[in-house]
Amino acid sequence: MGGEDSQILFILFSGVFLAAVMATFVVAMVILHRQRQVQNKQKVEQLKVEFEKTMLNIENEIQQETLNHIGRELHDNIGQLLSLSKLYLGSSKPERQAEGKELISKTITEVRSLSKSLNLDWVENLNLEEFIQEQLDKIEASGYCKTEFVANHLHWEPSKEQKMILIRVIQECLNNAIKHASPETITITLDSSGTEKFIQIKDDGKGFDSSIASTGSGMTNLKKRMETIGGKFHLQSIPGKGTEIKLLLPV
Amino acid sequence: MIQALWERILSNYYLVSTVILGLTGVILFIFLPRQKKAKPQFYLPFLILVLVVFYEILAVNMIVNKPLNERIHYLLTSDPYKGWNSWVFNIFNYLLSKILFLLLIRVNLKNPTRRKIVHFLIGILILGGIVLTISGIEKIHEPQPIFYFISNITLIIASGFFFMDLISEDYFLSLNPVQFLPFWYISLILFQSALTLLADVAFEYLAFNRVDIYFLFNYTSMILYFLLSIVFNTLFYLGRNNFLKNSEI
Repeated sequence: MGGEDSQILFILFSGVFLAAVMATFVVAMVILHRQRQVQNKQKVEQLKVEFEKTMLNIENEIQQETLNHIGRELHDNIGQLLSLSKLYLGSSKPERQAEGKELISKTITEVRSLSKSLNLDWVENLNLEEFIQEQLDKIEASGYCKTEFVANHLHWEPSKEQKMILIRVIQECLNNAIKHASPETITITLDSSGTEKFIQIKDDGKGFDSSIASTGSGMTNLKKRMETIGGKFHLQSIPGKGTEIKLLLPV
Repeated sequence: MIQALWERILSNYYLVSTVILGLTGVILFIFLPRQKKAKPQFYLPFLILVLVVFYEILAVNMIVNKPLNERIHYLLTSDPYKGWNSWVFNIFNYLLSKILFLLLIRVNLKNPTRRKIVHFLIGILILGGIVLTISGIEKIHEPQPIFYFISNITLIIASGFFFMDLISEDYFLSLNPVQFLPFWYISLILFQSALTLLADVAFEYLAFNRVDIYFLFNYTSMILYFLLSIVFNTLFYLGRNNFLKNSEI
């Protein structure tokens, strides 16, 4: 009888123990879930701060570049136009004076278009394909190397933030190619694969061993910038065979 | 015979509550929009409620209607008839309802690997039942402690998977588990399976030697099923998986 009682006691105890274990398990899971929610919230906030910081940096960089561009334009273009206008307007010949007035009108138009680039509203209306073509035209006009642009019409309308980051990343990639690679041709392809759109920047320059970790922060910055807009930055380079960079963004 | 069946049902609070909650569940399910009725999150609890009402009434009927029970008994086996209705619970409770419960848990899982494992668990449950019965290790008309163990363990594992999903899958990040109905019904399934596991495994010993302890476990299981039926009815009444009004989940 004693043995039977202890068996019953064991079954009862096991039942209570099992119930307690299950209750603890469920409560622990709820607590863990809450903790994960808090961690996730903190992570989201951190990412938000990081994103805002990146956007601010990008805005500063674009503004800096715009100021440089304006400086160059004032010196090389508007300065020249005004000097020429002064010269023509000071002339006693009526046809020269008319030309001088025309030059003044042209200068006003140039100043107006320059003033538009002082704020960042132009980014909103910017067409990514046009921007890439413009950048490549500039490179080709400088006689540095040949360029090629393949754009499969994707009807892709990235947000202002995405455009700003893409502009800076593309500019940085092109600068790097010009500075370090000495390529014959730079090719940019705008296309999509599956659920992603991508911009491929390819050069046939010197290349480098991309398997060796870079000591500089340039590539890491580009990668981080792409990640802030939910994108990816892939780089592949082989010494003597050029470099291929892929900027991927989910649709 | 019908009179005896009614008397038997009405004398048992658990049966009365099961039938009432089963009927309200059916009515609330009928009023659900068609697209919701087609979703497994809704039709699986509905099937469970209907199945439980069906087998509980069938089990009572098998006690009242002995000749019918005897006929079915000899259809299933050639062993001498003892007047038990174990076959009803073995087939409908420990096999069919557990499969439905496993499917319901599977529907709420987001991790594809765990979903596949639950499929595998359903396979084990079906195969286990068939092998144990056909090989004669456990008879269909008698308590099947090994099979009860398998069915409860598969449910405990599947319920555990849900909680693992809850703390690891991004889908659940925006959810408050306390307001999420599947959290409640899966918790109840887990509790019921864990608590009745002992009673089911020790069924033969308890049912014949210590009926009081057997009933203690049995009542616990009944209370948990009662709560589960209330959660299912709430699910049909709300028409969504969440207590929150603006929730689409």
